[in-house]
Amino acid sequence: MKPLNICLLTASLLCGAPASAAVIVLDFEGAGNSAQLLNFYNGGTDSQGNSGTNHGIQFGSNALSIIDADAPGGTGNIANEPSPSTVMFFLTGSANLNYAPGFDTASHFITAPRQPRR
Amino acid sequence: MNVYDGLNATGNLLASLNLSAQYANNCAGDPSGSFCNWTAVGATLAESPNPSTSGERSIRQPMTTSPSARRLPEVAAKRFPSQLLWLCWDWGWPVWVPWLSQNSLITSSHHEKAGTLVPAFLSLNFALTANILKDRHAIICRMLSPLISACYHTTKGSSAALSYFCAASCPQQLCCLHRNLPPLVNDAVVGIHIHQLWLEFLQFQLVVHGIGAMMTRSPGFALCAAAPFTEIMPEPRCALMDK
Repeated sequence: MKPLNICLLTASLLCGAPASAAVIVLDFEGAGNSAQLLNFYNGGTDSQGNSGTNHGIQFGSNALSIIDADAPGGTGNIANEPSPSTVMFFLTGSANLNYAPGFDTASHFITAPRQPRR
Repeated sequence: MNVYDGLNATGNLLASLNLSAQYANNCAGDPSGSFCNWTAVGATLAESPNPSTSGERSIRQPMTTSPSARRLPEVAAKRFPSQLLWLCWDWGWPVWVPWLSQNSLITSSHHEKAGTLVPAFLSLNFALTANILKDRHAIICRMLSPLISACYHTTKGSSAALSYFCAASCPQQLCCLHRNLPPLVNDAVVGIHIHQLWLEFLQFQLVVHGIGAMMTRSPGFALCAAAPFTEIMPEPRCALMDK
C-alpha cells in the first residue's frame, strides 16, 4: 500500500502587529467533517457552511478539516488530537494558511503519514 | 512546513521544517484512530533585512520541536512476560502475543463508537503447539475476564496501529475495554510451545483504513487463546468506565 501524504494539525499562532501580539489558537472545532476550511476563520464559512471565529485567517482549498470518528458525525481516523474532536489535514499538494497581518511565532501539533495497510 | 512572509506561500522563505512521519508511533487510538501521535513544533522569528511585506519579520533559523503533552509514554518492558502468552489469529494469521501489563490498560466508555460487536463467544480447553509470528498484522489480545477481551491491532514493523475492543459479554452494562496498549508485537519470538487453557472466539468490527484520514469499518473477528506459562491467572473482573 502507498503511504499517504497527510498532515494533521492543530495550530496556534502568535500573531501580530508589532504593537500588540496576540495568541490565536486554531483548534478547528466546529468545522465540518471532510470540509474545506476556506474562510472558516475569516468571517466566512467552510465548504459545508460552518463558521468559526473571525481571525482574518484564510485557508487554501487543500486545507481540510475532519472530525474524529469517535465523535458524532466524524469519520476521521485520528486519536489523541490536541483539541476535542477536529483537526486540519490535507491530502494533496500543500495547505496554505494566509494571515495578512503576519505573525512572529507559529506552533503546530502535527502527526504525519505512513499507514500500515492490510 | 514552510513559512513565508507573503500570502499564498510567496515572498521570502522565513522558516522551513521537514516533519517526520510519526503517524502512530508509540501511541494508540482513543479508542480508535490511527493518526495518534502529535508533536508540537514552533519557530521564533527574527528581524528580516529585506521583508517582502512591510511590518513583518522573518527568520532563517530552524524550527524547534518539543514532545506533545499528549504523547503516550514509551513502553518500559518489551519482552515476553513469563506468566502468560496469547495466541491469536487475525484472519488466519496466528501470532503469539504477550500478556500485557495491568498498567497498560485504560478503560474507555466509548467502545460503542468503535463499532464493537459482541455476539459470539466460545470457551474451550485445548492444547496448542504453534508459536508463529507473522510479519504482517497481528492482534494483541488481553483477556480481562473469561468473557471479556481487549485486542490491539498492529503490525510487526509498526510500533502501534489500530486498537479494537473484543467484549464477549459482561455482567455489567459497562464493560472493560482498553486503549493505548503498548507496541509489543515486535518482541514476539518465533518458536514452538505447548500450552493450554481456553479458547475464545470474538466477533467484532475491524476498523480499517480508508482513503487518507477517512476511516471505514468492516466486520472482522479474532480468535484468541490464552496460554499461561506458570501460575498466574487473570482475575475475572469488569471495571467500570473511568474515561
